[in-house]
Parts: sequence; C-alpha cells; structure tokens
Amino acid sequence: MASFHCQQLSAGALRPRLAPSSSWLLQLLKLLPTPYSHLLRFWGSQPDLRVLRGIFPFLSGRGGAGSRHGLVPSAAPGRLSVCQGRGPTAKPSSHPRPLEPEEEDLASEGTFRSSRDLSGLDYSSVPSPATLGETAWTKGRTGRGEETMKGVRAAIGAENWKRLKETARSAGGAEESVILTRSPRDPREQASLGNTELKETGPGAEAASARGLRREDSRGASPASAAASFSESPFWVQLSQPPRSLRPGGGHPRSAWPPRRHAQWPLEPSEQGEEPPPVEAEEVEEAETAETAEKAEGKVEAAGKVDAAGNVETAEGPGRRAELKLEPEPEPVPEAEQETKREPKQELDDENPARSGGGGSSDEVPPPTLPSEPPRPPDPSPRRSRAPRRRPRPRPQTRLRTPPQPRPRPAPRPRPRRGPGGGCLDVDFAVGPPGCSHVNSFKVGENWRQELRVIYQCFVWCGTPETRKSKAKSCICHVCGTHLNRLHSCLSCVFFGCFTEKHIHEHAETKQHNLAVDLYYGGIYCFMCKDYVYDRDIEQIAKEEQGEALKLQASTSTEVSHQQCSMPGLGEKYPTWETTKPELELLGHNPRRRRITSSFTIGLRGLINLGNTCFMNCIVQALTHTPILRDFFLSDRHRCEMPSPELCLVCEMSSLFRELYSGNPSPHVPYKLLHLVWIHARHLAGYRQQDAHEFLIAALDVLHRHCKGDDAGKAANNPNHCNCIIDQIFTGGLQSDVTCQACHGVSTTIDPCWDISLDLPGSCTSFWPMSPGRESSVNGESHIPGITTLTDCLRRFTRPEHLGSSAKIKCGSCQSYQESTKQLTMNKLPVVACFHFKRFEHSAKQRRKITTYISFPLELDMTPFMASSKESRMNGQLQLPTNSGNDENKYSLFAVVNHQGTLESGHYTSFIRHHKDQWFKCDDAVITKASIKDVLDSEGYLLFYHKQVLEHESEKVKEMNTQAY
Amino acid sequence: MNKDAQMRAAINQKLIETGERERLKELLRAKLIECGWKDQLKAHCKEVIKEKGLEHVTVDDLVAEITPKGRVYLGVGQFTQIMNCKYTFSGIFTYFFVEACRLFTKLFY
Repeated sequence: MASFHCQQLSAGALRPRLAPSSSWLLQLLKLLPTPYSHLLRFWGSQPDLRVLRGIFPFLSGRGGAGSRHGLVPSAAPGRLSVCQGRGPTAKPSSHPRPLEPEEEDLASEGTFRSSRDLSGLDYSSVPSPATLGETAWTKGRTGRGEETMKGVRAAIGAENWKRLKETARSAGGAEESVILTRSPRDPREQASLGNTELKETGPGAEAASARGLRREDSRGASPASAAASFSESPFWVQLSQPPRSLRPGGGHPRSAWPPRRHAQWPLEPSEQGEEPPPVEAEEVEEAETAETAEKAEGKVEAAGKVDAAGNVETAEGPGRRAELKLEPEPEPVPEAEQETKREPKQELDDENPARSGGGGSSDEVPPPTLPSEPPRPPDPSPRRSRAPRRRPRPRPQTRLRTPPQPRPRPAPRPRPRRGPGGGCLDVDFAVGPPGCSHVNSFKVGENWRQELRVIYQCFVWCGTPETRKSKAKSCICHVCGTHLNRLHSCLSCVFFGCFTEKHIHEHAETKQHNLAVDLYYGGIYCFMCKDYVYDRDIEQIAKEEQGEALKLQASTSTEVSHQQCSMPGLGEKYPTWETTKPELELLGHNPRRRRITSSFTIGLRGLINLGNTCFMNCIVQALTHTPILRDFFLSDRHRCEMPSPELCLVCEMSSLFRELYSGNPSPHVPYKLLHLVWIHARHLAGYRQQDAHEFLIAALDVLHRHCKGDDAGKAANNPNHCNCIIDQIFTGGLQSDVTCQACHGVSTTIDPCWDISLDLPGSCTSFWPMSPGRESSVNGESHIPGITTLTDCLRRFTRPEHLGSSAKIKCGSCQSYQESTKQLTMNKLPVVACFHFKRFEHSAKQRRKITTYISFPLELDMTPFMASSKESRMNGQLQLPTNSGNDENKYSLFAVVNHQGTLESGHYTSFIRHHKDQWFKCDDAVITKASIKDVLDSEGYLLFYHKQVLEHESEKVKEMNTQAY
Repeated sequence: MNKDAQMRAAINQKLIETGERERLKELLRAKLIECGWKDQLKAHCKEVIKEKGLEHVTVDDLVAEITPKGRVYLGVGQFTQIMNCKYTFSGIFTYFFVEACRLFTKLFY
C-alpha cells in the first residue's frame, strides 16, 4: 500500500513522478472553493516545482493508488485505517483490508465494522475520541445487550464515558426528567413539552431586527437590499427555526404539510395566498393587526394556563403562542378520546419511558383524522396510522427505570418497509410540527441523540484533530472511492456514498436504510420522502455540535487560524436569528408589517427648526440616510457604555433613527438632540446660526467619544485604532508625504480624517489654475472648460505642494533644514467620504462666501487619489484603467448639503437619496421630491459619498496579511 | 483511480485534516452573505416555491433550478470582491496562499 507521507520521499526519486502539468493544478483548482481557484492561474502552465513541493509535500508522494475504494491506508501500525472488527470481541487483525461489498450485509445484521484503531481494541488503553465515538456509535446500533455497552465503557475510559453521557444528557436530559416524574397523560402537557423543546434553541440570537430589520453589511448601501429586509415580516423571521427548509416541520412531502405550514406562519397573511395590499406602508393592515394581537393575547392566556397546570416553563413568547393558537382548529378532540387512543401507547411508554421523552415534538399519538387534511400520499395505510407500532419492542423489562444508562436499541430500521412512503402518518398537531415519520422511527431509540452526536462529531463537524484525521481518511464513498459528490452517510450502518452518483440511494434501496446524513452540511435526507427532512430535535443537536466543533477548532487549531477564529468571524458572524423571549414580546406588540416599494416613504420625515437649527437638521438628515449607519442603528447595535445613558448622544441618535423611520408623517422635533449637542459641544450652544460642517465634525466627535463610553483613557491608549461605528464608517487615512528637495527623502505620516476639505477656485489662498482638461474625464465627467469638477478639487488636494522657502523642515535623512514638498493622498478610504467645499473664506483680507459652481458626479472613483496609485504612478508603472472592473474605490453620492444665502445669514437644506435613485430635498420640516438634476445642479457645500463595495475583513487580518508579505 | 483524482483526494484529505476546509467554507459562506448573494438566491427560491407550490418542491428540485441562477447572481463585481479576500491559511497552506496572492497582486495591480 502506498502512502502519501512526505518522509518517504526523496526529491530525486520524485522528480519524474510529479509531472506537474497544469492538470493537477487544475485539480487543485477544482478542489479549492471557487474564490481561491483563480489564484492558481498565477502559476500558469509553469509552476515552480520547488515551491509546490515545499508546499504540498504530501502531494509529491509515490503516486500510490489508494485502495480501490479510495481509502488511504497507512503502513504504520496503530494508525487509523480501514479494517473491520466483528462484534465487540473481534480480535485485532493485523492486516487491514478494504471493505468488500458483501460485508455490508453483516454490518446491517448486527455485526459492526468501522474504520477504527486496531490498537483501540485493547480495552485497557484509551482510544482516541474518534475511535471511541465510532465504537459507541456502532455498538449503540447493533442491538447487543448491555454487555456491549459495558465493553464500550471500558474501552473508552471512565472520563470519556462521562463526557459522552453529559453531551447526551444536555440534549435529552431536560425532557427526560420531566417525563420521568410525571407521566404526561394530558395532551396539552405534551404540547408544552414540545415547547420546552423549542426552548432549547439557544439564545444566540442577535438582538438585531427587532423591528424586522437586519443589518446589511456590505452593499447595505443599496436600498434595494434594505427593501428585502423590510419586506420580510417580523413574523417570518420570528420562527424559532427559520424556514430554512421548504417544509419547516420536516415530514412527509405530500401529507400533513399544509396544516403544518399554517401552524408555522399563521401571522403572515401574504404567505397564505391573499397578497397584502401592494403598498401604502402607512396603511399597513391595521385591522389585521388588531385581530392578530387579540388572538395572540388570547393565546397567551391559554398558554399561561397550561403553564400553571403543567409547571412546565415555556420559553415561548406570545408570538409562538399565537401561532399555535392560529392552527386550523386543531380539532379539539375530546380528551377522553385522546385518552383512549393513548391507551395502547401508554403501555408502550411504560415499556420505554424514554420514548416519549426522546422526542417531545415527535410524539406518535395518532391524530384524529383531520377533516382538513390534505390529500394523502397514495400509500400511507390508514390502518397503521390508527394503531401505530403496536408491535412490542424486544426490550428487556429489567432496564426500565434506569434512564440515564444509555441503552442500545433495536436496529432502527431492520423492519421491512411497506411500500413507498410506508411510514405511518403518526402526527399530532397539538404537539407541534411533526417530523418525517421515518425520522420519528429513527428517534424512538433512546440512544439516538447520542448516536447522532457521535456521527456529527466524527464525520460532519470535527472539532478535534483526531476526528478530523479520521474524517479525512474515512469519508470516502464506499462505492466509487471519491469524495466530491455530496457524500452522505447512512444513519443505520457505516456506509458512505455519493449522493449525486446515487450510490447512497442504491444503498438505501437495497438495505432499506432510508435515512442518511449529509457529511458536509449535516442535513438529514429521507429516501422515502425523497427529500431532506427537518426535525427540531435533530436540528438542535446539529446546531450544538456545529457550535461545539467551531469552538473546539478555534481552540485546537494552529496559531494563525486561532487568531482568525477567535475573531467574531467564522461561524458566529452571521448566526441565524433566533428570537429570545423579549424579542418575541416586542414582535407581539408590533405586529405591523412593512413592505418596501418604490413609493415607500418611511425614512422621510421632516425636522422642526428649533430656531436657527437648520445646520443641525440638514446634517441629521444626511446622517440618518447614510445607508450603513442606518443599518447599524436600526438593527439596534448600539450598546450604551456611558455612565449616564440619558446623556449619550449615540443613544439619542438611535432613538432619532427610530423616530425618523417610524413611518410617522408629522415632523419630528429634535429638541433632545439639540439639548445634547449644547451640552457636549458648547461652542454650538445658543440660537445663533452655525456652520453645518462644524456641527458635523462636532457631532462625529461626540458620537465617537460616546461610542466608547466616553472613556478618555481607553481612547488615549489607541487613538488611531477605534472600532466604534463612527470610526469604522467615517474615518479615512490621510497620508502626507513630505519630500526633501535636497535628498528626496520622504517622510510619511498618516492621519485619520473624517472629512476632506477642498479649496475652491476663486479663493485667494493659493494659486488655483489646475489646467483643466489635462486628463480627460476621470470620473465620467465630461470636461466642460470653465467648470471645475469635484475631481479637479481632489486633484488639487492631492497635488504636491511646495512648502516654500519660509517653511524649511528638517529632513530626517539628510539632517538639514531643506525646502520640501508635501503631498496629501488617501491612504485608507472611509466607507462614507464627506467632502467639504471651503465656501466660507475667512482670510485676513476678506470674509466672503465663494459661490463658484462645482460639478460633482453621482459616482466617484477615488482610485487616482489613493496613496497606492500615486506610488505606482511615481514608479512609472502603468496606471490601472479605471474601468478594469475594480469597484473597490468607487463611491456613490447619497447626500448633499447646501447653503443658501450669505455668510451672515443663510439657510441650510439637504438633498438625500432615499431609494437607490430617488432624491428628496429636506428643508427642515418640508420634504419634497427632487430630481437628480436638481441635486447635481445645486451648489453643494457638503457632499456625502458612500462606498459601493465594502471590505469585509477586519483590520486584524489585514495587518496579519501585510506582515505576512 | 487516475492520478488527478488521487491528487484531489489527497488535497481534500489534507484540507479536512487541518480544518482548513471548514474555515474556507465558513469564509465563503460569510462572503456570500455579505455580498447579498444569499439573499438574492433566497428570494429566488421563494419565488420558485410560490410558483410551484410548496408541496411540489424538493430540495433537489430547488438546487437544480437555482444553481444556474446562482452563478449569474454572483456577478463579476461580487466575484472579484470575494476573490479579494484576505484569508490566512494555517500551516503549509499559508505559504501557498501568500505566494499566490503575491503573484496575483503583481499580475493585476
């Protein structure tokens, strides 16, 4: 057997074998996730062999053919390898051999095999978690008696055993204990048990979107995407398990689905056929609101009663209760009838107490036939649905009251199926959405949670290096030996097969094992239902395991990846939102739906002028229409750290955003904001006219300070490195290079900046002629001679500036005072670029307002003004053509603040972009629609541009990368 | 099994062993969410489901229907954006990736 281990290679022997054609690069390319594959291009057809060999020592092996099954056995004894053991007493066989197809029969008939460590069979040693996991798993399903379990326990050691048990208990323990103390005869109690299950969905929810809004990270700029988030009703999002599936409850495709669906989304009228009135967000269905609220309340009461009776805490908020309430009249079966129906079941329960505990939501009480039941699939035999599983389980009676002891169960699926979709339709609507009946039959065993966990731990989400190793070696299709075709693992025996190649289908067909788990995503596929099924319990387990694995991986992986994992990213960055209780309550109180359409006016709200406060109003309008800032505040991201929250300007901004986006059409009175501004920026206090730009800077400064809890010490520690939202959005890096004229040494400093103040032609401060028309349209502006553009101003801003003979600076390199030139460039672009035209000139000679018209574009490319592009220019390299598909530095205009009047007295108004391309003019309390032409023809005092493409990695990684280079 | 397949298997094995595969997957997922691709696809899925009726759609149908769309949605801009990722591999992959990035930057910037 060949192996791919590098120590066995000698470079000489390898050279002829490696044959590094581009073909294997291609393979690599195919293997790597798409975004990386392109990188291979750089090696072109001539890859550097030495480099490659250095990188992939394992690649340059002796081209050994893994076994026919693609397994990669290793010659070293004691390594994980593919072998088989028969039963728990299997003797270690020294010659691993690949699996033969006929052995599968054995596997399903009680003997087991797994790829496991042979040395692990020596029960005195503690095998690796992988081994123990598999052992436990396999044994758990073999149906052997307790001695098997004992063997396992001995094999894996007491500690590991404890751990396993704990993990198993953490999932199933809660309900089990409830069940064991009381026998849940009352179906309503069962319902609440179902709820307890729901409770398990952890509180990992983002406090986000309490108002149905989500934060949109990148491209949040486009209101279209905001529209998407708006249009999602809160109740769509509120499901404790988001509709990741088509059929949230899982289950049989054509059977019980519609009622279940009803139960899931009762408050979403549009989902039930009747499309809500297309628009007029203002008049969102008020009537419906009242109605649903009423119902919700009613249900709250009902649920409360259940709580009192059953002493079961449900974590469900009113929303969920409302859902339950709104079920299509869950056929309030007389309780007596339920009781009688449950009689045979009760016996079974006695026999197997864990069964009902195992799946509160998957309980198999046969439902009364629902009149509203949709057409059933051809088969599900009514006979079975009446009397489900009467067949007693071959289970020794002696083990009845020892629930914590994990106990093997009969092989979940050796029972012959009855035709396609042969599962009975054991569905109880009161219990919540039932799962697929096949999954339910999987879930009857007491150990199923544990087994599932083990499968997840070992083959799907591997946290530890050992399990990863075993996964890497063993997760290969048992038929064709590849790994690419959506590998699935049989849930009933050890079999991996390709999904796309239908190998797993064949297996399922021949062995009647009709559940399989996706090895890369953890989904459960049911071959009877011919679809993935979603089961609450299983999803819960999957989620826990995934989180666990991520945590483990973060703690066990190497330094670099540890750093990366410990950052918020990777797995935790975009968790699905799961409602917490307070959120559910909030949602219950605000059942209005909002839809975004082109005539949607939420967000447009005038601000009352409180006495020369137009300078504030126009800035507030601009800020509140900053897409990324809006997303931040509307998703409730601000956590106040101020000692006195009532003085926190950020909190005030937050409530201001709420006010402006509340949909209330009457103008808002920003008195509180003004008060806070007066407190925190004393120079702006009073009813005098102020400069909007000054206010903007002051506001940003105060906001910035308050974001950090006004902790001066913290800010002082790292003034340039702040992660507050204001800094993240508005701070750019202004690089100033001072070049010594004598030695051409450059000293560079980078200053953070919040805005860019631009000189205007006509100001007397400095020479202006910028030789317009020198370079033809940079930003798509047609160059009309005589009209200065924003680009001109920026070009002037970034031009080398002779500091003059009067301002000699000591050069760092030649240690003498020399004349020098200074040049400003953008080192880092802010997300929101704010340009300030210096229209107010206060020079010694005169004080005046410069009214020169400056044309500014809707889209701005800042690439020419970047420090990096300047360097490339200096180095004589070709400058990138701006149309190279590089959107990285592109900006689009979203707000313009104008000043009308004179220096002494004037008025500020602002144009703001509302949807992607609608413009409105905000003049204090009056908001009118404006055309793009109005905007572009306006004079312009402050221009706000928003980056079109946001970078997504945090500073840390960037730094790491630059260091790596 | 031919050589390419072996190579592929070996790389895949290594990626899994080191945990890179999961991390890459997570990264890709995060990026696709960030650039809005996921939401687009989700909206499209909803349409398909509405059109066909919930009972008549399976995951496989949906995948088949969505896959070509998904490639379209992931337009050039988004794609380059995703490719512009900053990612640090652990172990041996670091070197490989850094080299590749360097070459990439030289070639295109």
